[in-house]
Formats: sequence, C-alpha cells, structure tokens
Amino acid sequence: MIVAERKSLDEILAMLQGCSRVLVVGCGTCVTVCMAGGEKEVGVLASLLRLAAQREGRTVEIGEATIERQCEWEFVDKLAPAIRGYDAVLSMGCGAGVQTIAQRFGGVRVLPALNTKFIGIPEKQGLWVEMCLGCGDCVLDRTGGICPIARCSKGLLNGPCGGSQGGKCEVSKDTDCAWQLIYDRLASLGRLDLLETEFAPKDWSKNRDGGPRKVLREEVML
Amino acid sequence: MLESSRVVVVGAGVAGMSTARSLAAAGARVTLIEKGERLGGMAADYACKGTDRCNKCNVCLVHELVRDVKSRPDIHVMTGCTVDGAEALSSGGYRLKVGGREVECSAVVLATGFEPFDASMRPELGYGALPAVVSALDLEKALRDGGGIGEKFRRPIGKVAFVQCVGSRDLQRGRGYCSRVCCMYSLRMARAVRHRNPSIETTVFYMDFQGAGKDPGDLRRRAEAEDGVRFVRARPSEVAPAPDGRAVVWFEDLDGGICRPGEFDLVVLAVGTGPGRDTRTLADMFGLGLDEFGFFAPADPGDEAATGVPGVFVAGTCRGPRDIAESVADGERAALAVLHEQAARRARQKIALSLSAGTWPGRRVLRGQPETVEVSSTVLVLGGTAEGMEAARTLSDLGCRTVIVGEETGSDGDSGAAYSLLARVDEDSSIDVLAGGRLVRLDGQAGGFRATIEGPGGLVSEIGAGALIVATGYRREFPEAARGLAGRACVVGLSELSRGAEMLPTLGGVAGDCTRGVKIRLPGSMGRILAKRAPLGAPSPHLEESGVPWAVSEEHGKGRGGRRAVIWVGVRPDTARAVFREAISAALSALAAGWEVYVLCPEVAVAGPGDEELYLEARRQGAVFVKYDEEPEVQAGSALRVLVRDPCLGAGGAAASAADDVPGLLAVDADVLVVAEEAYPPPDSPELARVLQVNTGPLGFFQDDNVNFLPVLTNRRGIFAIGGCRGATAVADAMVDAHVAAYLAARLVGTGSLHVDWATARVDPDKCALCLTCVRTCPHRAVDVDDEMRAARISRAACWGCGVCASECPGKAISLESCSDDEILASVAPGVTAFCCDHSALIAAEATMAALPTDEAAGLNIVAVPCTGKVDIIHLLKAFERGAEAVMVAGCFDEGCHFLSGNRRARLRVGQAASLLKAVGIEPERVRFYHIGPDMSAAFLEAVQETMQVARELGPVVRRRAG
Ligand code: SF4
Ligand code: SF4
Ligand code: SF4
Ligand code: SF4
Ligand code: SF4
Repeated sequence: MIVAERKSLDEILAMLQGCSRVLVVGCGTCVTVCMAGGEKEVGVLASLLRLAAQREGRTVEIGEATIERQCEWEFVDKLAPAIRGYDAVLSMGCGAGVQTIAQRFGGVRVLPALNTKFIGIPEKQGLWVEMCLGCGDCVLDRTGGICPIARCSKGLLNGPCGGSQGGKCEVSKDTDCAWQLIYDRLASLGRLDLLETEFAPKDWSKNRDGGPRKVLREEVML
Repeated sequence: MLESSRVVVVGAGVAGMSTARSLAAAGARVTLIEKGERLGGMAADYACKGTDRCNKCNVCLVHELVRDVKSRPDIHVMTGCTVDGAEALSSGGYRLKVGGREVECSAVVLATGFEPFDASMRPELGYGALPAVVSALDLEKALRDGGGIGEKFRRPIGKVAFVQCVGSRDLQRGRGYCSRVCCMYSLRMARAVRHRNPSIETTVFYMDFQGAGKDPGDLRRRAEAEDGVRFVRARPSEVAPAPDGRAVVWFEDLDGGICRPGEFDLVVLAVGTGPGRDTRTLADMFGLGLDEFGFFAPADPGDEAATGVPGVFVAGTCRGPRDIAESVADGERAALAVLHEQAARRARQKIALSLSAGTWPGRRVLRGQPETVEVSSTVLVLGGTAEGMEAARTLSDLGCRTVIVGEETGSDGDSGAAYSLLARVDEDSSIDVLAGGRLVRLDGQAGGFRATIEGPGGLVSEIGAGALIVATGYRREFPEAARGLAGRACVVGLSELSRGAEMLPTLGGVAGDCTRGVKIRLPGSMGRILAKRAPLGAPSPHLEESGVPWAVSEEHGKGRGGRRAVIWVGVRPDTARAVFREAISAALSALAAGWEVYVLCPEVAVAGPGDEELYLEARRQGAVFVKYDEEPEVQAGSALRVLVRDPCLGAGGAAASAADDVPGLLAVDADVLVVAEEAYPPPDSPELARVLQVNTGPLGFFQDDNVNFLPVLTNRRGIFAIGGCRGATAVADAMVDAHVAAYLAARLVGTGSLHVDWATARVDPDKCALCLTCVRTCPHRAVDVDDEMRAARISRAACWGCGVCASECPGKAISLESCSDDEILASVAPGVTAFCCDHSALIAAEATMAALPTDEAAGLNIVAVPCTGKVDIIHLLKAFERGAEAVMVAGCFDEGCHFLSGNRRARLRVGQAASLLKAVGIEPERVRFYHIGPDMSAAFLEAVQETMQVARELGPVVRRRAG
C-alpha cells in the first residue's frame, strides 16, 4: 500500500492563502487504510481550516468529499458537480490522486494536503514502514524476501557494509540492518549459498531510465 | 416461569441490588425492600480511591448498580420499610408484612448487610473522645466529598495513622475473625490521601497484611515506594490526647519490645465488619441459623450459601465479611440459587426452559434494534479442574450441554466430595469429556464459536459452542527462594501433601537417622483425584474432614516427641490468601499426630471464613508462628536446619534455640520441611490467551485487572475465566466463580436464542476499506472480516457498544446505534461542552447539576456517550466550530474503563485535538480530559468549574477583526 502523511498545518494554510472556497477531497483506498486521507481525516482537516479562518475572522467555505479512489477517472468524475464554485481543491490522496484530479479539472487549483512517502506496511497499528522502492527489477528471490534496495539504508546489493552492528544499521539504532535480516533469514532457510554469488551491478534502466515508467498490457486493453 | 411469582430481596446494598438486577435480567419480577431511604447501603458512602489510575476499590460498581436498579421497570423498589412478619404459604412461598402492606412472593433473598464495629466499644482508642480519632467510614465520606481532608476535619493535617483490626480478630469482644476488607481499604485510602495531598505522611499499624485482588503485593510495594506509605507491624494499645487536638498512638516496638508513642494529626480506625442489626430478628422469623459471631450460617457445610429453609436465601455481607466485588458475585450466585429452586419446584424442569430467550447485560445500556439470533447452547469448558467440573455440572442443571476439554476425568477409588463431583460429571449425559484435548484455534463470536480441538495423536475435531469457560487452574511451584529445595529428601510441597501423594520423606532429623521412614499420607482429598488429570486449581476444602494427614507409623507414634515440622509459607499475599488455610490444616494435622510445628511466613493470611479460628487453634495447640522480614535460610545437608530471624525476639531477646550471636535468629532442626508453593499461570496460558484473544492481567493470569470484569468476565463476551486461571483462588471462591460463570453463560446462550436489544456498532460495507483498524482496536474483539462482503463485520452478540471502533475508523464506515455522529453533534452548542461517560462522569454529573448556579448550568452542555472512546476527534473540533469555548471529556480512571481502553483512546484524541488546535492558533487548554468516577460528583463539579474558568478567561474562539 502507498503510505502518506499529512503536511503540517502551517504549510497547508500557506498554500491556501487567498483561497476562500476550498473543497477537501479524500480517497477511500490506500490513504484511508494508512489513516492519512480518508473520510475521517477530511473531516478533521476541514474542521481545522474552518477554525483557523474563524480565529482570524475570515469567512471561508470548506467543502468535504471522499471518493473511492482518486487515481481513477470514473471515481474522479463524480467530483464534477461538487467542485463547481471552489477556488481550490485540497486533495488528501497520494501524489497520483492529486495529479488525476488536476488533470481532470483544468480550471481549478489542485493542492496536495499529504506527503506521499513510500510503499509499505503497518508494522503494527500506528507504525508504517517502507518495504519497496518500486525499483522495477525485483531481487527478492535472492534475498530471502527482504528488500535490500528499500530496507538497506544505502540500498546495497552486496551487503552488509561495515556499519552493521548487533543487527542494527549504523544510520540509526532504531533501524534493523537489512543485510543482517537477509543473512538470518537465508540461514534459517538453509540457503546461505545464495550469498555466495555476487550481485552484478543493478540494472537501473528498469527504474527511472527513460523518464516516467509505463506498464502496458494489450490483452486487457479495450 | 417467574411471571406469576415475585421474588422479594431484602436490603438494597450491594448484594441485594446485584441479586435483584440478576433476577430481573433472568425475567423475574422483583421487589427490593430497603430499610433506609436510598439505595446502595453502606457502600454508597464510600469514595473512589483512584489516584492517577484506578486502585481497584470497586466503589464505582455500587453507583452503577444503583443506577441500573433504578432504571429497571421490572424491579419494584420500596424504601423506608422493613419486613415485619412472614407467613409461609402452602405453595412454598411467603406472605410478608412490609411496612403495613402484604407482599406475596415465591422466594425471599435476605441481603441485609453488615454493621460496622462501633469503635467507641474500644474506649482506649479514643473514638468519640479525641477529635483526632475518626473511623475509616468517616474518612471515606471525607474523601468522597472532595476537597482537602484538613478542611473536612477542620484541622491542619500532616500525619495520618491507620489502625487496623479495630473490632476484628478480637477475641475479647467476641469478634475472633478477620474482616477481610480493611487492610486493602486502608492501603487504598492511604494512597488516596497521599495523592490528594503529597505532604501528608501516612502510617499503617497492622497485624498481618490481608491482600486481596489481582496483585496486592504490587499495590503494597507501590504504596510504600511511590507514596511513602509506612507499614508498622503493631497493634496499638492506646490512643491518648496530645496538644493541639493531636493524638498519640502507643504501640509496641518489635525491636526491643517496648511501647513507643507516635504523634498524629489524624488517627483512622479501620473498623471491622459485624453482623447487621436485623440479622437476629430475620433469623428468628425465617428459622435460620446464625454462626457464633451472629452472621447467617450455612446449614450445610458443603454448600456455604444454603440456608436449609426452602424459599429463603442469603447473600452478601449478612453472611460474613466480603468486599464489593465479592458481594456483587454473591448476589449473582443467590439469584442462580433462587432460579434453581424454583425450577426444581416446577416438575423438575431445567432452569433454562423458563428463560424466554437469552438476555445479556443486567447493566443499563443504550437500546438498539431488537433482534433474536440463533445461538448454540453448548458450552465449552477448558480444563478439568474442580471449578471446571463444577461449572459443567451447574450448566447441566441449567439445561446446557457442556464439553469439558482437558485432561482425562474419571474416578478412581477415593471418596469424598471430589469423587461425587467426578461421578456426577461422569454420569451426566449432557456433559462430554474430551480427554487430553487442547484448543488450537477459535473462530466465530459469542453464541457461535467454532473451536478446533487437537486431541491425543493429532486428532482434530471442531466443536460449535455458544460460550466458553476457561478453567485451566494455576500451576504451583516452589517459590523463588525455595526453588533449590525441590526434590530434596525431607522437603515436600504443601500441595503434594494435601493431594495425598504417597511420600516417604526420610526423617533423619538431627541424628541423620534417615532410614526409618514415616509415611505421610493424606487420605480422601479431592486434590488427589484431580491432580492426576489437570493442573490442579486449588486444594481440597475437605481437608479437615478428611482425617489425619500426618499418620505416623507405630514406632513414632504420638507422644514420642521430637518430631518437628517446619511449614514455610513464603508466597505472594494473593497466594497466601488462597493457600494459608491449607498450611494451617497441615499444621493442625501434624500437631494432632504429636509433632512439633513451626510455621514461617511474612504474614498470617486469615481472611477466609473460619481461618482465624483455625489459626488460633493451631497456636493454642502449640504451633509456633514466625512472621519474618527476611527470607529464612535452609541448610539441607545430612540434617535439615532452617534459620529464620524472628523480629519479635528483638535485639536482646534470647530464645532457647536462638543461634549464637545473631539477635533473634532461630535455628530449627526439622525432620520435615513443608514448602507452600507459589501460584503461577500454567505454562501454556500465553498461547491459550492468544488463541482465545482474551487479555491477561498481572502475573500473566487470565482476565484484565479491571473491576468491571469481576468476577468472571473477560474482554470477550461469551468467554469466562474462573478459579485458578484468573489468579490464586481458594476453593470456596473458585466454586462461586464456577456458579456465576455457569449462570451467566446460561443466561447468554442457554435457550438457543439470544435476544439482542442493546445498541451495537455497524459497518457500512460500501465505505469500509478493510483497513482492519476496527479489528485491531475493538477492546472486545467483536469484529471479524466478512470474506464475502469484503468488509469488516461486527457481531451483534459480541459487541459491547462502546463505539471505540466508530471513532477510530478512518473511513467513517462505522456508526453506533442510538449514538451516531449526527446525534452527538446535534447536542453540541456554544458554551462549555462536556462529553461524559455514561458509566462514570454522567452519573456524577446527574448528582452535581443541582449544585451548579443556574447561570453556569445554562452555559454547560452535557453530551452523554456510552464510553469516552466514542468521542471522535471530529466531535471535539466540531464543538469548537459550533461555538464551544472549551470542551471537556470526562470518563473512568485508567484501568477502570468499562470497555478497557476507551478512555485511553479518548485521552490520546484529546491530546491530538489540543495540538491540532494549537497549530491553527487556538489555545490547547480549551480541550481537557478528566478522570471522574461515578461517585465523584464533587470532583466533577470542580472539573466543570475549572473548564468554565478557562472558557471565561479565553473567551470565544472566533476573534473578530479589530474595528
Ligand atoms: S527489489 Fe525493487 S521491486 Fe523488489 S521489493 Fe525491493 S524495491 Fe521493490
Ligand atoms: S548497516 Fe545494514 S542496512 Fe545499514 S547501510 Fe549497512 S548494510 Fe545497509
Ligand atoms: S474507578 Fe472504581 S474501582 Fe477504581 S478506584 Fe475508583 S471507585 Fe475504585
Ligand atoms: S475501521 Fe472502518 S474502514 Fe477499517 S476495516 Fe473497520 S470498518 Fe473498514
Ligand atoms: S469497538 Fe466497541 S462498538 Fe466497536 S465492535 Fe468493538 S465492542 Fe462494538
């Protein structure tokens, strides 16, 4: 799932400077699940924007709407009647959601309320951790199902580095050394032999080389 | 069944109200008669002793009971009257004369409570004569009324003494019993006093600490370490006047044995529990027996609560001292006994036939859409302990089929109560036993659990059950300090002794003469039969009756002398409460066999009925009790020598056997050392708790440490924990657990259908993103994933209606019936808004509002919520949007929340709201959280006034532009 986090209120208020009619739009998928931009967060943010205005004696109109997914044309379309008359849309979707709405509704400013952070999981309720960087060339088959790209602080393919101490990464005592995890896991699987083959330098052409990436599947196209 | 038959409950104290509530919940019509003008009995005057967190005093239960009873139309309350006469009817019931009227009923439950000891009967303590001397009840009232205790007693207070055992353990005044509750209430009061005024020093003068509750040792440690409460083992002989209205407590100093004075500003006498004033009259009226102290006595020693008179039952403190939670439980037990008798009267029907459909909470709850759901009336009992078997047997009487999963049960050649219990389980066609089975998985919810049981040899079976009773008992193991002694010759565990394991400890004694054995045998113990099958929960209650355990072989017969046993009871106070009787019984048996006996212990635990008498008897017969401060040292070479320092021997005291040089050190050369084992949860408890999704509490025993769950509820509806698995429990207490749990389980699922009419939360599957937040945060584990709908699903039978999930759901997909966001927001208005928990602050608020000046009351806007956990952060913010100047949220103490974590979640949200408000330039102190118990109307008033003060000072949130 995509994990995001709300921007600070100062930043949001600053970007809304001069807007008196704002529609706050939530997304019912990833950011609902990671508790950053679902219907509830929309309610909280909208309420705070109204209070901030009240406090300063400004009159504002803050609307609220949450759609199933901000990254699908059909769902975004549903905003059409609601969006009329607003100076700005404050999207609580991930970066993809903000852009989809912006692309669909040319005439209105669409602003991001969230910082989209990573692809990750809730390690436990209230704590999300990064698991995948979307590198485009997955190596998990050789690393015991633990991603060295996303979870090693240095993204090393032939780790660990010398900074691995007592299972922790030198970057922070709170971070597990990914390569220690990989080693332990492979050991328990009886596959330490996998570590005997060196990783060749990673083929980053499958990542950002050549601009924004696309996935095309003709068989499902209309 | 009971439509036409009314049950009269006499006494609206805790036990009476509990009986009435429980009977009414089972469909009976109840008349509750109270001599006084109000409900609640003595306990209505007690104060919540919460500090930063709940201290488990149980007082809040009383106020809730009062409210529950008042809100039930099926309980007819008559205050200001007594039962003046009773005439037995041929139908088996009674015609009672009540305040000039006649009331016919099918059964009478006497719950007339107790009378506190009149402290002026001990004039040397100065009660009534010295202004500084008060009774614990006076202090309760002072604490309840809030404010400083100095103001209340109109004097500066710097030092407070608590004097224990006033009117308890007092042979001279015919009160040779322990009142069971005073140690804990004094401890809690001392904490509460310190908490409210940290400069006050508190000292507790006590004889033996009678710990009760989940982990009383910990509570005492914290009182000493965190609150500086000082414990002095002494029984003050006199309280004398001192200048400025102070008082001097004279007590014997153990070091040196001289009497010393201590000066205090306030001396609190922990007055004991005595029989109620009406007890004798009622006993005569109904032909009941009284014990030597004047409490109602059991007619049958095997059934502690039976009166022997059909149609008449007794409950609560009128039959002996017990605390609030125990009285609530005793009320439930009495209600069960009434139903039982009535069903038996009617052509031996099973009780359940008479219940219309399962009903649940006796408590007041929000009402929801009524619905009757099919449930399984099978109850699964986990564990073949005595309490487990007793629960199964009771359930069978109640018409439920039970399956016991545990070690093999069966009978093998012993006699006594256990045998008959086992035999009854064996015979009973509605009880199945899955021997050697283990629960490995549990699906479903209350009313429809599916349990996967793994049997011996990996055989797996699935059992459908409406409810589960966990009765896995506790494990007994040598305490830390004695662990190295396990298995040594001449050293034996107390429980093994009680179980009657065949033992041949070699009794060498000093001479190293280890060859001539004495056979220690304990015939006829229930423990023995059970021991083979299950981790035994508790010792035999029939120990005394079962004969002489210390049979001595011919050549070492009685009178030969020289045989010396040391019984070492070095266990936690909660374990001591459960096993001390066993230790004294062992001592008595040894004495009877002509042995010399030393009992070593930090405290003598005599809170159980009859325990003090047994203890005194042991002393009379010559047992030496050493109450030590430091653990004894055992030298176990060829001979067994136990070294222990007896503080009573003092610095200069030289006893005959005192070891050289070390003052007060006793060296006892023993032939046998009996070690009382410590109680621990069985090793597989954590795994079982995980499978059941049931919380564990202190020391890893089952059940949360939260008074609202006493005695047998767990965080999940339909799963009960009884006896040893929820902490070290004496047999009698474990049996009460078994009865209460059986009754509650039968009330829930016994008829095969459950009438759900309470408000529950519901998920809108279209909005649910399956984020699992509700699954994870529901304190009662009532949420599952509906694979077909691909959404969360809340079981109506299992949901407690707290609303926590609704306030946590990031998709706003959940709403609580009768308490939707719209309904809550509709009652938010300008001024001060107070969100009040229905179980605590709202009850306090109801009592307070009258005290609020009208202009203030007009600006206060109370919003009732079932739990503060229902207060969403959006509600807090919207309240400000709608003009509130300050918002307060008031709920139970930590660890006292009816829904376990609702108040904690609410407090987090209040913190979050404060920081969000700050981020948009609004003062964070406008939103506040308070812990308010239901009896704390004074504190509630203070909280309201403080919040109003904030509102006044800060003014409206909206700041108009200048000009
Ligand atoms: S290797 Fe690449 S694709 Fe695989 S998990 Fe790591 S970042 Fe994601
Ligand atoms: S310590 Fe481990 S996780 Fe950290 S950079 Fe080195 S290899 Fe990567
Ligand atoms: S919350 Fe209840 S149990 Fe806890 S201290 Fe207060 S009254 Fe006692
Ligand atoms: S919290 Fe809400 S969105 Fe999440 S699973 Fe529960 S109902 Fe669905
Ligand atoms: S959190 Fe409360 S309201 Fe929600 S399902 Fe659980 S018990 Fe019911």
